[in-house]
Amino acid sequence: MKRESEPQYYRRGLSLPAKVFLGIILIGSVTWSCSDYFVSLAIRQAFDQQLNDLLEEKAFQHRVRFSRFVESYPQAVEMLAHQKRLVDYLNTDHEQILQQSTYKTTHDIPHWMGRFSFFNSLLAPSYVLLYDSNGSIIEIYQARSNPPPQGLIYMSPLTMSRVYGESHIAQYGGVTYLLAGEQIHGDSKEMLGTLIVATPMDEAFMVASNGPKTEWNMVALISEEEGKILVSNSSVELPEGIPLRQLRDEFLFTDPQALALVGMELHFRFASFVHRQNAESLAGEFLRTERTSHLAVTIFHVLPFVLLIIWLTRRISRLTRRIEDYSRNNDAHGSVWRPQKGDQLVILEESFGQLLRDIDQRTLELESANRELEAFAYSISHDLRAPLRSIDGFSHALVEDYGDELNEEAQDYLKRVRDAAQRMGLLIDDLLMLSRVNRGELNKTDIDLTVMATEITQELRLEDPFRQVDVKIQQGLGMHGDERLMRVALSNLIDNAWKYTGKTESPTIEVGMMITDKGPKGDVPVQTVIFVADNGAGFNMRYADKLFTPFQRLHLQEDFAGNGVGLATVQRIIHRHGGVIWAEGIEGKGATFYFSVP
Amino acid sequence: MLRACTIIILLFCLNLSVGQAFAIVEKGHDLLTESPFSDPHDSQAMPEAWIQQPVQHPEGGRKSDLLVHLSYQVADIWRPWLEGFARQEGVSIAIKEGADGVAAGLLSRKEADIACYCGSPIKTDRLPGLQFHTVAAVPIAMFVHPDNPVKDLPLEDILKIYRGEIDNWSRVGGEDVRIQPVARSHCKKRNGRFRPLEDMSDLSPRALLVGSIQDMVGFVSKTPGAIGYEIIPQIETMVEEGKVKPLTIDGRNPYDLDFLRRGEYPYYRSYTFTIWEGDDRAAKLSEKLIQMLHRKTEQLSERVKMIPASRLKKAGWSFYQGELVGEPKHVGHVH
Repeated sequence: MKRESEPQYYRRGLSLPAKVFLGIILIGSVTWSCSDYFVSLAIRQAFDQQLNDLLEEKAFQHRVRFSRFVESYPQAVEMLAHQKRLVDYLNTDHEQILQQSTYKTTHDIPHWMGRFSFFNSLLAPSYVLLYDSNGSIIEIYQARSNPPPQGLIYMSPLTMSRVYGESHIAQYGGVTYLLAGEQIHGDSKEMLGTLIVATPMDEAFMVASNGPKTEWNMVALISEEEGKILVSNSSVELPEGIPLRQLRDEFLFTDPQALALVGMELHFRFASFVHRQNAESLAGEFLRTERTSHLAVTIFHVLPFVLLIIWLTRRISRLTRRIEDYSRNNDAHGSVWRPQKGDQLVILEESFGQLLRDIDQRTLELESANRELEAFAYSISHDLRAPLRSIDGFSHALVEDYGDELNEEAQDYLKRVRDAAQRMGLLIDDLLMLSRVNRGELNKTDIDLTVMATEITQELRLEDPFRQVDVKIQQGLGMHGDERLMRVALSNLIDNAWKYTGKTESPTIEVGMMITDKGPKGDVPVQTVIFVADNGAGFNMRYADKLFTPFQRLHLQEDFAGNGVGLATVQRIIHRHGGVIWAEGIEGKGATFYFSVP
Repeated sequence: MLRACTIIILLFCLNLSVGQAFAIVEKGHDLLTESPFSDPHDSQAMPEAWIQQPVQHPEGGRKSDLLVHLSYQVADIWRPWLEGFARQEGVSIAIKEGADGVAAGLLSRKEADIACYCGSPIKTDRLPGLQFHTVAAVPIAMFVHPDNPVKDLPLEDILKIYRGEIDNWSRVGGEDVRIQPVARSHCKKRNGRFRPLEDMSDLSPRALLVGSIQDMVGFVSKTPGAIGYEIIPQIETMVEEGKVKPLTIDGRNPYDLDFLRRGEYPYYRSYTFTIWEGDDRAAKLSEKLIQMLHRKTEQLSERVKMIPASRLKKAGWSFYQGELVGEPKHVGHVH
């Protein structure tokens, strides 16, 4: 039916590839974001753990360094006190020293210390105090401008005895000092005096003990009770007196650990610090590197799938276009079919639905047309029989009643009329049979084909008692189908074999069953088939496809009578049972018909 | 011998006389054989003004009835006992933790009512008016990394390890791993059986000197070749978690307190408290507190891995007015 208007392009939203691409981007972004969040979280936790471990390790090194510095202090003092030049100084100038009314203070390194002595660099002493054997101060070397506190100058015997041979940490005038002392003895073991070295534990001390402040080297002593910074190696960032809790936002630090060093009169803790900013920037850099790597790996893994999906969607698009075109060009109702707005999959779905609807419609129309045709054929066939019987009957009456008055030629004409009428009657019978095959419901039961074939053969022998045909029927043949129709089919096949062996010496017909992997169109899965074989006229395989076409005959009417409807009827019966039928033949050697029914 | 020669040459180079140089080396060896206890009669003379000075708590403890110094090593054990005592007696007690130096400082400034030494007091600790009460002795365990196959060390080998004369575990039945001795010298000036391990003049130059208990235990737990020492209460958790492994010494298990009680275990610390003489309230409270510590330590001896003074006395250890001054006479420690 011609359309009223030209086909229009279907309305669509985004195409399927675009949707897939956007979907991948959207889902990928969400997935990657979630994955990135959790991976970053895990990495951050691992990083924090590692950072904590690193900080602990650094803090341990800082504490060991500090302890070693403090513990080595008295050893250095011991060696300084045992220098020969100091012993000589006290021995030589002993009388003169004793006569001094007051102590001597010098800012220059005294000769008994040694100007270039390594002690200076090792101890970094602020004050070196020399006492006589009675414990009275006689000389002070001060490396600083401020004089030493009075508590150091006039040291009690108890304190003096406590600083011998060990590091001693005590406060004088509110300042914490590291002290170490050693008695100086002469060659005859007589006591000549006492040497005490004192250094304030200030920022310079912390730098001397633990090195200058760097990114990863920030240390401080913390007061035990108040948790405040006593001193650090960076007074700008870790000033004295600031509580630790105020530093939490700005610094990461280990739990301050109590140090128990020799002669500590004060109990304090030691802590190591790292700027949070440094740690954060390190973490940020680490995460950026990890994120880039993560993204690259993700793309590497996802890209093949994206390409595969795009390739599939393109194929779907092509298929959709073909269906669209088909739908447009095969519109059964002449209306322009326009799917709703959608992508290729929507169009494909609607196109497929529309095609199914068209097929259903056309099937209904075809069935209706078939029914009309069959009814028409039946009606025509049925209606033709009455005039045909009249023709045959009146021809017969004419011969019987007026045969004597007709000449021989007229009688021959009448005989031909009757033969033609009878052939036409048979043809009508066959056509009626063919039309009946397609009508009515199948009434399926178990059929014994051996019995059925035997009965058909007996009928043939009765009709043609003078023919000697060797018919072999296999025992136990059976199938599930409509007995009435299968009798028609088997009867046609055996009739054919009977007929086409009419001119054969020693005619043989065989009805049996076999298992084969051959089918009408070549190899098929192994199946059981019924066959009817004969050694009759056979046929040329080139025309095998015409065997089952109505009114198609491969032999002359004069050789073998027939109207070409029988095998078409057989095929329809087998097809109605959902089966297949095919034939093999060799001219002059015979033919075999196979059929199988599920 | 080679090491001693090296030190003498070094000291000589440093402008020391040979006699002085020998004196330094000898001094180190003297420390190894000296008694772990000082003479309780040898006390520090102090000026009269100091003697007359009353105890005055420093800032932070001024309102307390007592200021007690606890050795930081066992403070976790004793602090709850002190708190319970304070509740029971209805008094307030300020607690200061620290090593022996802190105790000495507080006492010399007369700022504490009670102080605790983890070793035997020395002359400068024996200030006028002080009484000494040894409450308990606690074994010091030598411990190593848990992967170290060595389970026992002879005492002599331990000293050689700390002197640097044995520097590989293969020489004492272990694997071919370098030994890393770890030491803490916070108490080296005081007497005690731990001194040979802490004596700096005899310590291996390779020994790692740490300043805290946590560093000692933490380092050994992370270092396969390390060896350290601490009192049992300080390592108990790490031993239970399998992070460090205690060694027996000459077959003597530090966890078997009987070895130490009989005077057969070589390394230990004794915890001696000081109180001031007098009959004022603080002195009486102090005495009561010491009695409580004695009682509690005796009751919970096995749990806290301490041998109370009463059991030491029964085992033949010598006491002078409550202060531990001598080991059982029939047992000799060889250092």
